[in-house]
Order: sequence, then structure tokens, then C-alpha cells
Amino acid sequence: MSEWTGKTRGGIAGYKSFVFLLKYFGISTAYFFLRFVVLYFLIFSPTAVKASYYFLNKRLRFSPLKSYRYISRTFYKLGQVLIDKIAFLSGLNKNYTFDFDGEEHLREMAEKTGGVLIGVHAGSWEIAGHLLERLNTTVNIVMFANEHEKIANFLSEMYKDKNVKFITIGNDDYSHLFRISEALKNREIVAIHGDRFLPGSNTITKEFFKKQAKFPVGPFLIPLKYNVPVSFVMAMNETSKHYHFYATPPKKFRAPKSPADRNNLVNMMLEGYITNLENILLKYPDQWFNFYDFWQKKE
Amino acid sequence: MKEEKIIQIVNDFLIDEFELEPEQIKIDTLLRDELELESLDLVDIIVLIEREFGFKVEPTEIVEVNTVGELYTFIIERVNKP
Repeated sequence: MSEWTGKTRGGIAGYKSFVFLLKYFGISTAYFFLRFVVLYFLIFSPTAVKASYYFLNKRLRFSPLKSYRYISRTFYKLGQVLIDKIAFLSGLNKNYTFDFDGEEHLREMAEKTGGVLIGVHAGSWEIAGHLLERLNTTVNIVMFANEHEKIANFLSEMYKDKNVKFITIGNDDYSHLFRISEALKNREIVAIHGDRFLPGSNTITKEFFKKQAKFPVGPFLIPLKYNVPVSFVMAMNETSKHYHFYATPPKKFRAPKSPADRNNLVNMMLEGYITNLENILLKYPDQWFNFYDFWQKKE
Repeated sequence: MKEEKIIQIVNDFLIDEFELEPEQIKIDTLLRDELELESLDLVDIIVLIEREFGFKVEPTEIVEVNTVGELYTFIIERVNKP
């Protein structure tokens, strides 16, 4: 298994097919077709199956049988989350119910200072973003250009009347950093993932489910650099058409005294992120959607 | 603007903004690996250049700058460009 290359399977055609299904046949029909898609990926995506098995069997210590059962569940959940995202964006959100933990903290953040929300490729990041619409501020979602260029354009079109902007991270310049800086100076919210990085990026190695794994430094530096609070957010799928949104109380770290001190603060922030992520994944083991060698070493 | 003045402005900025010691700043010091500056810090350097030296820097240009000396040269060449 290799590291994440910056590209995600599926594309604009997949999104459009699901939009078509949802519009003309409804969410339940899309869920039905999803079973065949899951079967396809179980057979033709051995890398994803292997990565998922490693997470469930080696990191969560599930038995082999339970691990295989959960791989199917993971693929099905991912499909459900994608369908739900499209349904949401297509205006079918009245069919869904939600629980919110920590929304009040984010409201305060939105009204007073702006800040950084760090998410993860678990549960539904996009639905988390959609729920952030409830906040009376602009939310800037940071995405990798390679991963999301076409999809982002498509989503931007769907988001055009909403208070959501996209900032894409390219390989060859720092223009995204200027946009992030500008957004935070305007007291807006910047939402970014804290679990993936492009090859060559700065990383920190930390214990995650009792084994060392690499995490990007960038997302955890932003709140320190701009002196704004940070919250870790996730929207986890609980049952069909029901999501639970979690946001940790925003924390504002002190200004670093030196680059070394800043590294210590990044480490502290990352440890909080990992603890929160581990707790969530223990509760929702079928929603870890990083289908590559996250720990970068086989056992 | 004289080269010495430009170097002084850059050094003062690096010392104040990133809490560096003057002896850390040498011509061949690597900005990222030795001074531990991150991409976000380079954004600050671009802002400084635009503010202090009055020319616009494209983000792609600063990616090429690796050492303190290269940073001086980059600014000096642009400031003294006819």
C-alpha cells in the first residue's frame, strides 16, 4: 500500500449519476443501487480493502471475521455519505435529522473571532460543512486541488447561493495561504482536514491507535499563526438519514515565543485532535475513510 | 536603496517576527530547514517585501527562495531593477 497520492477515486460523472438517481428516483433507490457499488469496490479495489482491514484488524483489534464484516459496512457508509451529500446539495435535506454537540461554541466563534475548524476523512465532512451554514458567517473550505478540482467546481456551482467558499491547495504556490490569511483577518471560518497531506509536505509523527502515523503540520499551524481559536469538527452518520455533528470547544493557544515553542504548541494541538479522533472512531469504526496505508508500515 | 539597508530591514524583520537570534541569520542559512520557517511564514515575508520595498511578489517566486542570501538577492535585484 502506498501513501495518499492526492487523488480520490470517482469523479464528476459519479456525482452527476447520483444527482440523476436522487432527483428522479429518490434517496432510497440510490441506497439500493449502492449495494452493487459496494460489491464492485470489494472485488475491484483491493488496496482499499487491505487498508480498511488493517485499520479494523490491526489498529482496532477486531477479529478477522468482524473486520471483513466492517469493511463492507465501511464501504456502504461511505456510499451513503456521498449520496447524502448530493441529496443535501440538491435541496433534499428535509429528509434528514441531526444531533448537534457543540454548535453553541461555533456560533460564538462565528460571531466574535472567526477561527479554524479541523476535520477528518471520517463521517461526512461535506455534511459538516453544510451544517455550518447555520452559522451566520462565511465558511471557507480548504481542499486539495488534485483531489477536488472538478468536484469543487461542481460543488461550487451547487453552493453558489450559500455562504461557503472553496480554497484549493495547489502544489506550486502559496496562493491558498493568502486566501486563508485574508479569510481569518475578516473573522471568517476556515475549515480544513487534519489527516491528509501531499508528498513533500511537513509532517509530525504521532501515536494514533498505538502506532506511529504521520499528520500534516500545516492545518495545526494556522490557528497559531493567526491567533484564532481552533475546534475539531466531525459529522458522523448514525442511522439512515441521521447525522450527529460534533464540535469540540474552541481553544485559543497562546502566541508562540519561537519556532521551537511553536512546534511544541502544534504537538499539543495535534495530540488533542488525535485523542478526539480516536474516541470518535471507537464509536463509529465503520466511518474511517482513508483507504491507503495511513500508518505507512505493515505489521 | 542601498544593499546594506535592505539586508538590515530583512534581518530586523526575521529577528522580530520569528524570534530568531542575530547569529542564526547567515547568508547560507536555510529558511525552511534551519530557521524552521513554514509556508505560512513565507506569506509574512511576502507581505514585508511588498510593504517595505514596494513591489509585488507572486507566491510562485518565493517558492524558489531557499536561503537567507537568496532572499537578500531576490529583493536587491528587484529593488534596483532599472
